[in-house]
Amino acid sequence: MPELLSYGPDGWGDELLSGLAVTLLLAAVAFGAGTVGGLLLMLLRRRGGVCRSLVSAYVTVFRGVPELLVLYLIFFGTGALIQNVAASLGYTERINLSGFALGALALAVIASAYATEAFRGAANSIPRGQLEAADAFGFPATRRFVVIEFPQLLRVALPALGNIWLIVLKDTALVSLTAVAELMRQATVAAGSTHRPFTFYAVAALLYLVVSFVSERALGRVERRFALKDAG
Amino acid sequence: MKGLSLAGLIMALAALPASAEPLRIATSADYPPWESVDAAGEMIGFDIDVGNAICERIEADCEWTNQAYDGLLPTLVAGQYDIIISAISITADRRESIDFSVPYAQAPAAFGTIGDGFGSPADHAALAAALDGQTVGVQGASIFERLVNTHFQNTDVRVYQLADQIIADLRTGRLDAAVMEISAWEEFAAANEDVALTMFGPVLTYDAYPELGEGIGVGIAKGSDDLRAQVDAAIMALIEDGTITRLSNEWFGYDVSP
Repeated sequence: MPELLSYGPDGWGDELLSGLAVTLLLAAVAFGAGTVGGLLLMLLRRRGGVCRSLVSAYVTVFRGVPELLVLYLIFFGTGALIQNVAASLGYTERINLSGFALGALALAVIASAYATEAFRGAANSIPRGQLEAADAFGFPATRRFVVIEFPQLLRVALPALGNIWLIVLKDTALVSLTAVAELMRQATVAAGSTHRPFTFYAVAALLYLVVSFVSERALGRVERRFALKDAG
Repeated sequence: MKGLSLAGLIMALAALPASAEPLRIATSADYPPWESVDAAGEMIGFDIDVGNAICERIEADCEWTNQAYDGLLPTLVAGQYDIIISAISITADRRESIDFSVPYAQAPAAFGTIGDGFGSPADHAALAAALDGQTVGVQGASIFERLVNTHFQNTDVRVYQLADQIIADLRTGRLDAAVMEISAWEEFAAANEDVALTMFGPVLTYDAYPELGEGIGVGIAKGSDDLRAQVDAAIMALIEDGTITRLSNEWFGYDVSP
């Protein structure tokens, strides 16, 4: 078994580690895009009217539909859609869509739906008086948001964002259904090729656990760092 | 794909416009000896060699992608690849969404189990009687589910994603029997020497069980008639000059050529 997991041409260690690298990159891109997207959606929602309804619908759909289905729709649907649109515009050259980009997009869409709610909850926790005070001092809306709301928002939303990071990290395994050689797919290929499913799935589980554990510790530190020292 | 393939990562990040138009082939490299990945990360197997031989014949550069089996057909339809080569049986169902080349191999199937609890049923009737009321495992998105549902109706069919999972459940006793390609049984028998994986009953072929399909073919997106004609001609030539037989003997130890 040690030689099975060794690093180099005789073992699967290098394949699994490159899978882990792809998984981390995929999760980081999706989480980053999802967080920024969530913040923007939350701001859009505030404008009320149609914007509010649209964002609410978006959040309901992408929190309610299974992640796997979202991935299928984006991964298999977008390719066909873009090809058809291009063809109708007279562009018949082949278009290569990267599985990584589509996988990251699907995960980011899901993460942004959760992040919108996290930011909305956090925004509600900021006392109205602060915002009214800012208005009274003549702060423009942008400055009011950047200086007063956003720092507090981020602090309150941190635990929820940490949960979203862990969700995204685990959801990357769904992308193994596509051609992206992330950790789960590498483990499946290694298991199939060597007929040692338990060995490789156990190693993959361990790697996911290590990343989750390190993430939790890091998140705990960040939360303590930003906690209110003079609270209570 | 040696080590942490940074170049691969960077390539994967961008949706690259095609330039030299290589032939994009997808396979699910987790089904030895048809296709798998060796410890160095290279894709190997009968299908890989056949695919490369086809590319050589039609003078195209091959660009292989390792894509999970369940996603092969949808991604071919979506235009992500030009052809798929992954021990895919040519069936009427699949013909509705994609086209196939002429078959380049035959892959007969059989029922199997651990031990010899099913004896040796000689014909279909005896096999059906032996399987009456038994739990039978099949791989999902494959042809065997339909085969069992059509010809062995008094069984409890369980669908699995991977052949490995079928073997695992045979070992735990959750399955009484399973149906797979003979090449897969042989592969698993060699990898699980501690239990007696044995095939039983008659060999299942297209003649008696049309669900099995007309053979193993190359999947090609609909509307690519030029490419299909080229691939067909290449396969015929490879069968003719004995290349398929030679590769088959190399990977299976016997001849799977049609």
